[in-house]
Amino acid sequence: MAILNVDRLSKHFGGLLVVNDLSFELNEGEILSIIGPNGAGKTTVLNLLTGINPPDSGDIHFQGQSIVGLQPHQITKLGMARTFQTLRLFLNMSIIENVMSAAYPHTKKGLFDIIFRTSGWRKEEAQIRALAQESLSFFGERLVGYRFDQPAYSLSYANRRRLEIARAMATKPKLLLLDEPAAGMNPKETLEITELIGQLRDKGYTILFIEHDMNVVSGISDRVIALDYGQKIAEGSYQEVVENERVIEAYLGRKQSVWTKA
Amino acid sequence: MNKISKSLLVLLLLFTLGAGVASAAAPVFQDGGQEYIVQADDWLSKLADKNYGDVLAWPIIWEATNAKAAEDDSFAVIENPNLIEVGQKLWIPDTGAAEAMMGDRESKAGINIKIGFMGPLTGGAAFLGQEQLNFAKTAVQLFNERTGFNVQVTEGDTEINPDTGKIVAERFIADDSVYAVVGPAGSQVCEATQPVFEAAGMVQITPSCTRISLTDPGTATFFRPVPHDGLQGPTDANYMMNVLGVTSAYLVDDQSSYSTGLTDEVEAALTAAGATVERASVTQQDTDFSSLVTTIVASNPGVVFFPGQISSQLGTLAAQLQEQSYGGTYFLADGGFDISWVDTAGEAAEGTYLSFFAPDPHFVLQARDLTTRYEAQYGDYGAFGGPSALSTNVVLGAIERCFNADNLTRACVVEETAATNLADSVLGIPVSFGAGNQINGGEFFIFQVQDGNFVLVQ
Amino acid sequence: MDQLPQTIINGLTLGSVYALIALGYSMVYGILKLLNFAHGDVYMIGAYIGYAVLVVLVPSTGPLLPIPIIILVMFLFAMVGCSILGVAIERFAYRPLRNAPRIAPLISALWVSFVLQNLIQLTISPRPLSYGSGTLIPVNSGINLGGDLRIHTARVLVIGTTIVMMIALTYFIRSTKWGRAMRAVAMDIDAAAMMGVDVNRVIVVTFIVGSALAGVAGVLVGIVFFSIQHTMGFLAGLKGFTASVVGGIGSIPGAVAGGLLIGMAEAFASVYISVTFKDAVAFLVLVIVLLIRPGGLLGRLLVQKV
Ligand SMILES: Nc1ncnc2c1ncn2[C@@H]1O[C@H](COP(=O)(O)OP(=O)(O)O)[C@@H](O)[C@H]1O
Ligand SMILES: [Mg+2]
Repeated sequence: MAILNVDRLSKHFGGLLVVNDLSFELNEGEILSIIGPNGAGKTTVLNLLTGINPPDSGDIHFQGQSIVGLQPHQITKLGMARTFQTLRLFLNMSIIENVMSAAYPHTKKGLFDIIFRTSGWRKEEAQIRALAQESLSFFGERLVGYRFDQPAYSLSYANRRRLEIARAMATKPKLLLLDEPAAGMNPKETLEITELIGQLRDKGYTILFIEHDMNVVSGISDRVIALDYGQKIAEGSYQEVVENERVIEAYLGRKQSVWTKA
Repeated sequence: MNKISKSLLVLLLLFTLGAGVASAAAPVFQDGGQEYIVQADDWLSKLADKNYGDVLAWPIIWEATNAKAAEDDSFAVIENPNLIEVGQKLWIPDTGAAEAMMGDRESKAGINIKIGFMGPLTGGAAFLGQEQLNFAKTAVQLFNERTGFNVQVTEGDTEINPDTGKIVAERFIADDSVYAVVGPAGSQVCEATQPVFEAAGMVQITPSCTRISLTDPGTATFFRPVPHDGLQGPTDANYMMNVLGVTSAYLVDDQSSYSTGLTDEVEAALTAAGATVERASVTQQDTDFSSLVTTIVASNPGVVFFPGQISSQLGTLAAQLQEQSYGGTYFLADGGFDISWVDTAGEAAEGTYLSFFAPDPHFVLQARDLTTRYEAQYGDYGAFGGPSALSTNVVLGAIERCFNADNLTRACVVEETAATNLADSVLGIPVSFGAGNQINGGEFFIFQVQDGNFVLVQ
Repeated sequence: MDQLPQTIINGLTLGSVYALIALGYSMVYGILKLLNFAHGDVYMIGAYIGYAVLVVLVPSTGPLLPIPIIILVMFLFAMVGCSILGVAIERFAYRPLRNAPRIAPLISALWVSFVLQNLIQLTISPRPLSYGSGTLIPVNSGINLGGDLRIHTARVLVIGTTIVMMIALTYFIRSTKWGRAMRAVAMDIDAAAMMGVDVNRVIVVTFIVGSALAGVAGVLVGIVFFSIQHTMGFLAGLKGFTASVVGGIGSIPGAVAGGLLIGMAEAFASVYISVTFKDAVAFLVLVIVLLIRPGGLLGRLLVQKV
């Protein structure tokens, strides 16, 4: 069953058509990868899905409900979460606070409870903390224990990427949108992160995986869509897409290294 | 033609057609009117009702009696139409004469005459500017009622800023129907606007700028019906040393040109007389003087002198002097003549002295009419409005004389203002101008706060 | 007499007020990168609300309730009133301009400031009003610190209230979900929204908290320095703003440190240099701090996000 339906989506910035009549579906429990050279419009697609930018035309249905026009936090509350290509952690907060801040959508207690420190509110805070610890423990030893209270800026680059995923998980999403989660990582770390993404799917998340480097998505994609100049130029299994003439041309035409990482 | 005079005319007409009611008091008939001796329970409006059937026609009796008084000594001028005394002689024009006077009043009402008022209408000194403006308006109102003119007040906000003041001045000058300007407040603003009005040949009369140099040498168009700082400094210093017997003083100015000017004068006078003087400056925006008080208390002077203009500051300083147990005398200048700071400071205000350039209208009999009217329209008032009403009356008088001489021009108003010679005025003082168009005479009054009120002590 | 202890008391009193005002500036700037120049006038309104409560609860016949209760009611009304005002300002003067060039909300802030001042001038009075010295707290009450030195009860109240407010606020920011949400929005508004944080609500809460603190400051100033006027917000706002910049704008402990530093600088300059130079010294402190630490005492110059 399709959890996400994207129907003839378009978006332009100034004179530049960045997303052009794009349609696709994402089924529950699947990993769909969107690949395409830099500037193809992949991140913009995520921004449209998450409500950061409004689309010019087209519609987006999430779990059967149109979400065009909703605010980002409302969309998150419906069960969609994302990471950012350019890391956007709350660097001055501790690791656990970063994750706890994402628990906001499913908390209920208001200012009144905070001012009067009601027992309900204290219980809720404890639940938030437990949820955050659970998200972080998904990454094994790397982010747990004594590290909880370290500031996020003290983390290594790879750990920052992991923390972004943990933070997204704390919103309790059904659909995870990952924007180049392996960018800037070495091959070993890249492998590790793709394995993790496989595990995420096994835990029941549906995943939209965005990547400009085709290699990265090879092992784990159920389906692949290739994007160029905002247009879908190929869709199918990984093998079908990377062998597609237009895909090869799109990558070569831009004189970019397709097969090796920068 | 306004409503009042319209209805009056209709009534007069009815009267002429009908028999007319003869007075029972066997009046002496003369040309165009009759003499009348005020009885107990008489009011001008009551007499107007009796004679013309219209209570609103009372200004005619007022105006006619005053006109008679000018040529006949047996009549007295009515300064305040609310105060007529039993036995006083009035002149009540007959209906024909009254009608002619009404016609005259009506034609006067048709002339477009304006007085410009400038002052701080917004900002921290707004209370002062608003009070001056409203007193000027009230004075104009009373003048209009008495004479039948329809003088308007046009206002401009100087924000106590010299540059803004100049802009306001230019606006008044550009308006041909403005014949004189009352204002502004703040010697620095007076200084900036003085040459502008001089160049335009228009009267400017200030109710509250007291810096000496404004009338020394002065200009032909700048008038000051209030005393200047040159008198106040010595008056204050003299009182401190000879009456209060202090030998040391701490002087605090608020950096305005008025405040520093006066503080300089006091400092000079005190130093000349051999007192020890210390000095500090605050700003008009300060809300806390605790640290200044800490310094003052450390040197424990006999008197703290603060010619501040922002009344809240006066109260705060008083209360904080008390908080840190200062034992000497607190002495203020004109700004202190404002009951609101006394309320602020409560018992800390008790015993404070202050010098003021004008008497308090609350206590001036001649101002009763003005202050009653003011209170009804604008509520309570302080002491800054009195000189504003006085200034307004001076230029209104000049305008009236020019009109009567058929020469209503700015140049004439300048001449006639300079020629002002009043034996009495709304503030109970005589008004005439000497060198630099500074008021002749003029004195400072010293008050003390006793039981939360200002009591004149010198 | 040794002036040092009294000077410290003076500085702490003044610094406390500046700190309370600085907090509101800092919080709003942290979240919206907006200089809320109407904040000083919210503080002014707080002082007037306190005055209104005072007039009602302390008629000339004497206080209707015990004094501590009256003071609490004054705080409560000022906090609630200022919060509503703050939220209204955000809703109608800032939110419509959120995506406009930065200068636009600044101009609308100045506009709000003039409106509030003129409103009070026209509807209440252009004259200063007075809480009255000794109305609430007897003139001679206080704690004797030995010798001639006495700290007046009103000053104890100012400093004490400020400390309580600081502790409560720190707890709120550090350990509650609203505090976390505020910090998240301050650091990255889009990322926070994507983590499900309702940004508009966080902004509203920020204005509520900042304005309530300003309301408290207004009442405290009325109690300790007696007189209030419609123009009082201008210089206080300027000092509060300076304090927040000195402390590191956007930083909560920074605002407190900045407020205290400016207050102390003024008090010491008044006593040991000359009262004439106290404002100059306060702004000199600003210049020196910014030369040594461009981000302010406790602020970090964060690299702008790309
Ligand atoms: N907010 C924006 N304003 C203007 N242009 C934008 C904006 N966001 C993206 N673009 C442009 O849209 C194109 C696609 O960008 P992006 O979606 O980030 O590509 P990708 O993620 O595939 O590398 C680029 O040319 C980029 O410069
Ligand atoms: Mg991208």
